[in-house]
Amino acid sequence: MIELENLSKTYNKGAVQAVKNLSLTVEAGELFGFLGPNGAGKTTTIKMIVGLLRPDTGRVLLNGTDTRRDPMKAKAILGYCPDDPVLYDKMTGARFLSFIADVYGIDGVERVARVSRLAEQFEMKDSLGEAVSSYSHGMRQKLSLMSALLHDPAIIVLDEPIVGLDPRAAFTLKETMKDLCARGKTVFFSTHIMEVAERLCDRVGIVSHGELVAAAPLSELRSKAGEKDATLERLFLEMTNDDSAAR
Amino acid sequence: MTTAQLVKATVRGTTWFSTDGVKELMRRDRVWILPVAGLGILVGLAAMEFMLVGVYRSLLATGVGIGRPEIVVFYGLFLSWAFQFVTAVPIALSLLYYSNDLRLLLTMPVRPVQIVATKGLLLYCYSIPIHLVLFVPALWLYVGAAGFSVPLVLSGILSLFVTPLLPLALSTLFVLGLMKVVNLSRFRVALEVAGMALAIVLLVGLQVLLSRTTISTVTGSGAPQVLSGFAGIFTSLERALPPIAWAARGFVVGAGPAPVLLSLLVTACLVALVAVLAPLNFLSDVMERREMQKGRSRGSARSLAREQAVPHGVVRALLFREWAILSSNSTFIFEAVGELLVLPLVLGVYALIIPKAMVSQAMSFILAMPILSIGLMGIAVLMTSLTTVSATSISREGLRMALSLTLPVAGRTQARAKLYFHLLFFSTAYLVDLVILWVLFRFPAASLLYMVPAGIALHVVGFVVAIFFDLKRPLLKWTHPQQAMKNNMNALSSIGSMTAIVILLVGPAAFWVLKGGNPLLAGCTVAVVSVVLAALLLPRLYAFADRQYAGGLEMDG
Repeated sequence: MIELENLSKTYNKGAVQAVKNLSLTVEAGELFGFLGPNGAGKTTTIKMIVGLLRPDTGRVLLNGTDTRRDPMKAKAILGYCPDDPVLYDKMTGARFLSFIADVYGIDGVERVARVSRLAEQFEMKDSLGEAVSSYSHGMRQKLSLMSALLHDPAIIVLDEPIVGLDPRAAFTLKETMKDLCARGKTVFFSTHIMEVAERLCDRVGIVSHGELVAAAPLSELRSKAGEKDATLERLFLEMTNDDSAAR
Repeated sequence: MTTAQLVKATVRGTTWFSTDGVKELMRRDRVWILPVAGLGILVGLAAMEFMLVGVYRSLLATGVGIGRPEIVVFYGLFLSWAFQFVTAVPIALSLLYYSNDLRLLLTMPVRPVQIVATKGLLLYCYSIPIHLVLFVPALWLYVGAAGFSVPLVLSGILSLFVTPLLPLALSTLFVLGLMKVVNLSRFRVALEVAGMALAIVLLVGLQVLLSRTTISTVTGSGAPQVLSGFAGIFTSLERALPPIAWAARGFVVGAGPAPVLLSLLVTACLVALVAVLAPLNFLSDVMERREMQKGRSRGSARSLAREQAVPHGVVRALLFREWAILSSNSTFIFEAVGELLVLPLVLGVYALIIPKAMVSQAMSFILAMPILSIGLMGIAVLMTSLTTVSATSISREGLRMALSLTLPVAGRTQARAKLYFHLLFFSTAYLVDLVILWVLFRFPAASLLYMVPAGIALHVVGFVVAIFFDLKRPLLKWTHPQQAMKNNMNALSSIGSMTAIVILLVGPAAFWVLKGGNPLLAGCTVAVVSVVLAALLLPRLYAFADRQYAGGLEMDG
C-alpha cells in the first residue's frame, strides 16, 4: 500500500511549487494510473515516493513504513522504473541484473530462474550478453523493467513505462502489471496514454499544477462529470482545462 | 540553417560559455565556479608559461650560438603542432562521430558539409588555445631578439591563426582513415587513452630533450660539442618536417615570401582535402558506426550463465559497480591511472632530465638527512592522496545516482565499498611507491613498521575528506566527463584539505627529528595519530553517508 500524506515540494528556493499538499492512498492489489499534463508534478511525486526527492512537508508510507524514518525497509519492498532508464552502460545486461540481484540478496538458483523468466517475458534472452551501451531505447527500458521486477517487490512504481516499448513488450508489461495486482502487489504508474489508463487501471489520479484534482475509478469520474459515456481523455482534458481556467 | 547558427547552437547547447549556461550555473548556486576555475586556469597557465619561457630562452641562446635564431620558433611550432595533432585525434573523433547532437542534426535539413564545417570550427576553437599557450612564448622571445618587421608580423599572424589548421587537418584525415579500417566503437576508449598518453609522453619527451640541452648549455660542459650536436639535430628535424621548417623560415628577415607561401599552400591543400573527403564519407561513416554499435559481440552462453548464477556480497557488487563507472569513460580511466603513477612518473622524468653527476650529488645530500624515512613517507602519502578518484566518486555516477539512491543499500555500505575501492587503488600504489623508494634510497627497513600503517590510515583519512565533499554537494548533472572529474571543485577542495592534513601530521614529526628526536619514535607517533584520526573520522563519515543516502541527496529536475 502507498500512502501519501500532505506532500508538498518546491524548487528554486520556493519559487516553483511543484506539488501542493497532495494526499492519496493506493491499496495493495490496486493498479493506479497517475495522469497529468507535462510539468504537472507527476515525476516529482514519483521521485518523492521512491526517495529521490525529500518532501518539504508531508510523508510517504510504503506498506506502513515511513520512507524517511526507515528508508532501507521501504526501498527493499519497492521496485522503480524511471522514465529514462538508469543503467550502467559498460555492464552487460546479465551483469547488470546480477548486480541488482546481489544488492537485493537473491540467491543463485532463484536469480537464474527469475532472470530467465523475465528475459523470456520481455524477449531479452538473446540480448543479455551484450553491453548495455549497445541497447536501443526500448531494450534499455525492458532491462530497467526487469531490474525493477527482479526482487519481486510488493510495490512497483513506474514512470512512463510504456514509452519506447514495442507493441509486444507493451502488451507483456500491461499483462505483467495486471498479474502483479492479482498477486496483491501495488502498482503505481504514470502515463500520458489515456487508452492504457482507461483499460488497465482500477483507479486513476489526475494531477494538475501540483494538485491532485481527482482520484477515483473511471466510472466515478464519469458520474461526477455527469457524462456517462465520456472517455478518460475527454474527462482529463476537461479537468485539466477547468483547473487552468480557474487560475 | 547557416553554419554560424549551427556553431552558436552547439556552443549554447553543450557548454557553459553562454548567457544560458551562466544562468543555469546561477540557478544551481554554482556560479562561483567561474572565478575559481578562472583563477585555477590562470595559475596553471602562469606555471606552464614560466617553464616554457625558461626552455625557449635557452633555445634562443643556442640558436643564436649556431647562427639560426629561428630555432626557437621552429621548436615552438613543432611542440604546438605535435601536441595539437595528438590531442585533436580524440576530439575530432568525439565531435564528428560520437557527439550527442548528431542524432538531432542528422534528422534536420542540414547538409553533411555544414555539420563537418561546424565540427571543424569547434575543433579549431578547442585547439587554438593550446597552440597559443605553447607557441606565443617562443614568438615573443624571437620578436624580442629579432625586432619588429613587416614579414615577421605577417608570419606571426599566419603562424598564430592559420597554419595551426595543418595539424588539425592531419588529425581529421587520420580519424577519417581510422573510421575506414578499425571498429572504433570497440576500441574508442583505448584509442582515446592512447592519444592522451601519447600527448603526455610527447610533452615529457620534449621537456627532457629541451631541459638536457638547457642544463648542458648552462653548465657549459662541452659547449662547442653540444652546440654542434644540436645543430645536427635541428637540421635533421628541418628535413623531416618541411612544413614546420617553411613556417619557421618565414620569420627570418631576407628569406623572402617563398617559405611562408609554401607553408600556406600545404595547409590549404590539406584543409581542402578534409573539406572534400569528410562530408563525402560523413553520413556513411556515422551510419556504419551505429550499425557497429548494435552488432557488438556477446559473451558465451556459459559465461552468461556464470554471470547470472554466482551471487556476490553487496560490497563486492558495489565494487564492481565502481569499476564499471570508472572504466565507462577514457577521461576517468586516464585521470585515475595518471594519479596512481604520479610518483614513478615524477621520479622517471627527473632521472631523465637531471644529469647523472647532479643526481649523485643530490642523492648523497638526501641520504644524509635524518628525516629521510619520514620525509619519504610524507611524499609517498601525498602523491597517492592527491586524487580526484574518490573526491568525484558520487559526481561520476551522474544521473545514475538515481539508481544508487533507490537501492536498499545503506549509505555506510555504499561508502564502505567506495573506501575499499580507494584503498585497493591508492594503498596498493602507496606500497609499490614504498618499494620504489626503498630501492632508490635504501631507507631503514624498520621504518616500514610505521610507514605502512601510517600510510594506509592516512589513505582512510584522505578518503573520508574526499568523499565528504562529494557526498555533501555532488555534481550529478554534467555533459562532458571532464566536468565530473577533472573540473570538479570537490576534487580541488579535497586535494587542498588533504595536503594540509599531511603537512600538519608529518611536518611536526619531521621537525622533531630534525631537533634530535628518534626517527622511529616520531614515525610511530605519526602512525598512531593517523590511525586514531581514521578511527574517529570513519564512523562519522558512515553516519553522514547514511543520512545522505536516506534522503539528504536529491535528484531534482
